[in-house]
Amino acid sequence: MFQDDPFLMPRNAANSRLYAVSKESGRNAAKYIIKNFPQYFDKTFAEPNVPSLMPQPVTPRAEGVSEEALRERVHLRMVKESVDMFDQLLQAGTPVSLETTNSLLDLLCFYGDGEPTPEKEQEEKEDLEEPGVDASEQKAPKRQFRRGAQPGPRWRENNHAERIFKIMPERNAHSYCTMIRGMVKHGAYSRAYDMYIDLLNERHKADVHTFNALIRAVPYLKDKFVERWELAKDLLTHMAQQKVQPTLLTFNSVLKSLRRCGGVGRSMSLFVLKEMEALDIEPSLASYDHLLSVYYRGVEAQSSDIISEVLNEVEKRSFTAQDPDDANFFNTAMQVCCDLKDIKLAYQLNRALEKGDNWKFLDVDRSNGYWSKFFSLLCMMEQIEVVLKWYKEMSPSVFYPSPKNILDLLQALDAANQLEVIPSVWEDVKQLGFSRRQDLLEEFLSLMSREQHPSEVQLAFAKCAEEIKGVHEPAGPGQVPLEWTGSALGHVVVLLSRAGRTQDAWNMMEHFQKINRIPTDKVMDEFLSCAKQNNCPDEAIKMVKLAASLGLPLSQRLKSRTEEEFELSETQKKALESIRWDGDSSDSDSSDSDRE
Amino acid sequence: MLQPFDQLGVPPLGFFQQVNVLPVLMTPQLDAALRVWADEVKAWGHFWSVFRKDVSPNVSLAQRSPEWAQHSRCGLSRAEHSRTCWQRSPHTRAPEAQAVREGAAGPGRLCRERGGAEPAGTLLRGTPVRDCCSRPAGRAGSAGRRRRRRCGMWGGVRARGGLATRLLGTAHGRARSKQELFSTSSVLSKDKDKSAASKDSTPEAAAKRQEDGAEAPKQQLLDIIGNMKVEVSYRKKLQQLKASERKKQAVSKLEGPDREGSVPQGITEDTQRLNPELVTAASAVASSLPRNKKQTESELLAQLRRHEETTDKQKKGGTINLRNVISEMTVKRQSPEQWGARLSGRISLQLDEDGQRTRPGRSSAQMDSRRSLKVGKRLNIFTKASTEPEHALKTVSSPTIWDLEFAKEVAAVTAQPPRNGFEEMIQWTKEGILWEFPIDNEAGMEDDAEFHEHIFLDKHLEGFPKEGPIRHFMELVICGLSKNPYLSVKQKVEHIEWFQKYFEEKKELLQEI
Repeated sequence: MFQDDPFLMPRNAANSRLYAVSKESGRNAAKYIIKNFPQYFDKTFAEPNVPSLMPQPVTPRAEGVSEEALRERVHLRMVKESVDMFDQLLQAGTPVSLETTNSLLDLLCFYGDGEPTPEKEQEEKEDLEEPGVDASEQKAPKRQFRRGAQPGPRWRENNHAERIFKIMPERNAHSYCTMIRGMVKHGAYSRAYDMYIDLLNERHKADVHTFNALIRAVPYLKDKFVERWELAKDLLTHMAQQKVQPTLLTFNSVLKSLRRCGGVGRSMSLFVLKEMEALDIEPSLASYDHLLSVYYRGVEAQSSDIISEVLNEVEKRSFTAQDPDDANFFNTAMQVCCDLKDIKLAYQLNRALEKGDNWKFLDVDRSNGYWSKFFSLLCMMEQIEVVLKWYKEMSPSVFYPSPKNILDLLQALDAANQLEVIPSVWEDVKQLGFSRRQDLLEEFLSLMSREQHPSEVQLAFAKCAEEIKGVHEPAGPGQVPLEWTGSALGHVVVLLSRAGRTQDAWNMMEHFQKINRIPTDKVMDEFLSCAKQNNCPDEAIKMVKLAASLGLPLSQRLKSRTEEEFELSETQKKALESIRWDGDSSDSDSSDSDRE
Repeated sequence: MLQPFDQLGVPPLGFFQQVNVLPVLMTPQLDAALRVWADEVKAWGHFWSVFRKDVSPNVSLAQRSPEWAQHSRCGLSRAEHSRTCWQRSPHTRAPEAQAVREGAAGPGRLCRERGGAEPAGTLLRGTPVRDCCSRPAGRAGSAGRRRRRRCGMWGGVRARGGLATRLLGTAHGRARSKQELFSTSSVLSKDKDKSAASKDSTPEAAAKRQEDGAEAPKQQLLDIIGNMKVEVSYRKKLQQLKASERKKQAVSKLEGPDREGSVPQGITEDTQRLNPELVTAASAVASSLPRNKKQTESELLAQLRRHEETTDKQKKGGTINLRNVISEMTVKRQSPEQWGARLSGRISLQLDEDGQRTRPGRSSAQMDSRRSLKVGKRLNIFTKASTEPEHALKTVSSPTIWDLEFAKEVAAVTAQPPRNGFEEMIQWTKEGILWEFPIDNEAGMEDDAEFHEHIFLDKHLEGFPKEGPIRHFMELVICGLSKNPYLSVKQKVEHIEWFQKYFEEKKELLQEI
């Protein structure tokens, strides 16, 4: 997804989603208007006409009750009207041809006897045009749809499809096949299998799609892994007996079923691949995807042999989509690389992805997932220079890093002792819209405040701290400021003190009292040193006062330090002396101050 | 299944309901502990001989007896199993092997007996592990199988130590094999050993067993445990694989105890010759019967002898088989794929029985590492066939909604939103929203006519008079037509033809004028 105007280009994941959603919803709104008020769109303005901009004809032209009208309604996918028309024809005693009935059955089985809802069509359209742009509430059903699970209605007993199937005077193989496919699609697996048995009893032959559907249903038909495999093998044998040539999808279905066969799958999936090879059927990405999940999903101790062989194969070939599951391959493979912590494999996979049009297999969501896994692996395994190079290249043009990616990057920076890069990462984080993530902020602050750095770095850090402080303060109406935590506050004070900004640091110190937290000793020491450096005895005295009012045992030491290190005026000395010690509240100290 | 050792005095709980608590042993301490343990066990020697009989109270005799008789068989399959493991042995895992060696066969087995999915390291460290306590009885079979696999692994480990390999190659005597054969086949070896001893020793079976127990209580204990385990873990496999044989044997065994009446099972099992005690017992039974004393006694004894023969035969068979197996090991090597398939089959059995994913340990990783896309067999279900006629048939029928939707779905996989302006324009052009380049002012005209066919219509005037008012009229007509953009060429020609026909009809009339 792109935006022509760089100024309007979405800069973070949330914005890009918002952008895509609004684009799509505008499109849908236009379609809705055209669909519901076609009477206002009777002029063809474009010359020549642009069919893709014109509303689809939705009203059937054929009037009256006839087979022709029924066929048209079926063609327009008007489920309910078609069923009504069929019933009317039947009541009138008009015979409906087998072909028409079969196409009606196709329609009913495909939609599981429910109406093709506009939402669903919309979803499919979104799939076509702007995948991954849907609002989050639409996401779940779409995912399901992708995975071949049952969208929409489940198969109900004695629904229209079954009823029509029962009253059909004659049924051919197609009628059975479409029933089986419908039942599998809508989750009535055992009924589908029974239907298949019926088909065999009627001495019909199933077609290859039906077998594919049945094979996909195998894991739901049997409980034990061995039995599942046996059943799948039986179905394949039936195919061979009925002289049905298997297709790529057949074997993909087998492999998909083997995903749910545990250890059996591990040994058998290779046989299946060999069988494909013997039949000159080239595996698609989906085949490899299934193979990888058979071998690597949920297995702890792994070897990288299978995946490296798979990647060698994938690298050699270019792919076109042949199976809806093809899209999952790159993500699965990258996940495996991450699990194996094998950066070489990941590079190899990335090369394969960059080859030809392979990138098209990743839609927006998947590509974000893919790249963020890849980036995490890079952070874990690579030199920091390489990581930063990838980071500059990838973010945000290829993907928007997730908070976890940022954490990984911070850890990598920490490990490589390159903390001076943090301010620039912080800039990116602000842009990515993660500046309100508590965990990220804590990580930033603790890394920045852990050690003393050169002064220019400290200044940059202090700027970051200032900004982080800004996040915690009420910015505008409607913006709820983040709650300070004791440790975050302490880190900010330390950072500001090290940069020599005594006044700001003191302002932060005052927050401790407001949020009922107690600064740690380190924080107070840092502050005092800062005050000393800038020669601000007033702040030092205030500090001692604060410590005293909090009843910290440290306050005595602070006081003596103040007396020693500062040149105090008389009044200041008096002020220092007049600080009341609220008894030796040694019990209430460290319990709170050790909050971090 | 195992009794905690300090509870041995307590009557055994249900066969599957006992908690195995092994004393916490650190590996170096293992030896010392064992020594102590062996002494203790000596004292328990007698108990064990009794315990052995009573150990499986809730396993019926009928179920049990064939199993007891099949020790040799089980041993065989164990040996097979260990062979597979032995052949594998790509990596040496020194610490484990060491541990096994330290612990000899004994503790190793005990650890294994606990049979959870814990890695071997923790097992050796001896953390108390619960086994079988809450597991339903139905699952125990699978637990046993899993345990068996672990045994196999250990066997492999042991074999890697190199010791067993040598032993196998040179076929040492039984006495040594008791100590040193790798652990998976130790049951067999010990069994054999003991039975051999019983052959040699005095006929008093019970006394012998006690003696035996005194001599090597540890071994015996382990032996018993091993036997118990065999019963559980091999039962299912035997049922599956050797159902027919088993049935045969079961029949013969079932006959045995029935006819024997009160003769204790254990005695018939262990005695290799009909010893006097047994004979007296048989005659006692016979005398207790009201009639046909002689006949009953002889029947009983005959049955016992038959029984002994089968036992012997099986034992020999087992020995021979073991030798065969060993020789096969040295000669024929299984290909790694076969091996992997077998092992994975076993794993899967395990998996499906307890219905949960177990952790395939290192062994499965090794197994995977042997796998490859290049080698291996195919399913051999399909044959490659030319499918031309079928294809022809299929293309005739119009696409169903399934086909349409599937095509859509597949297309959606790679249909990504445009990444830049160019891609978007390409897409729009394909959809017909943008003009195609180079700009063509005939774009969208449906008929394939060139512009000159629209404009130069003279050639259609052939059939008209060369001159005169009609010609003049027609020239005006084609002039008008050539300027009309809304009619297709065909319509224009039809228009002209209509005039031609019209004038043809009126020809006579015109000529009259």
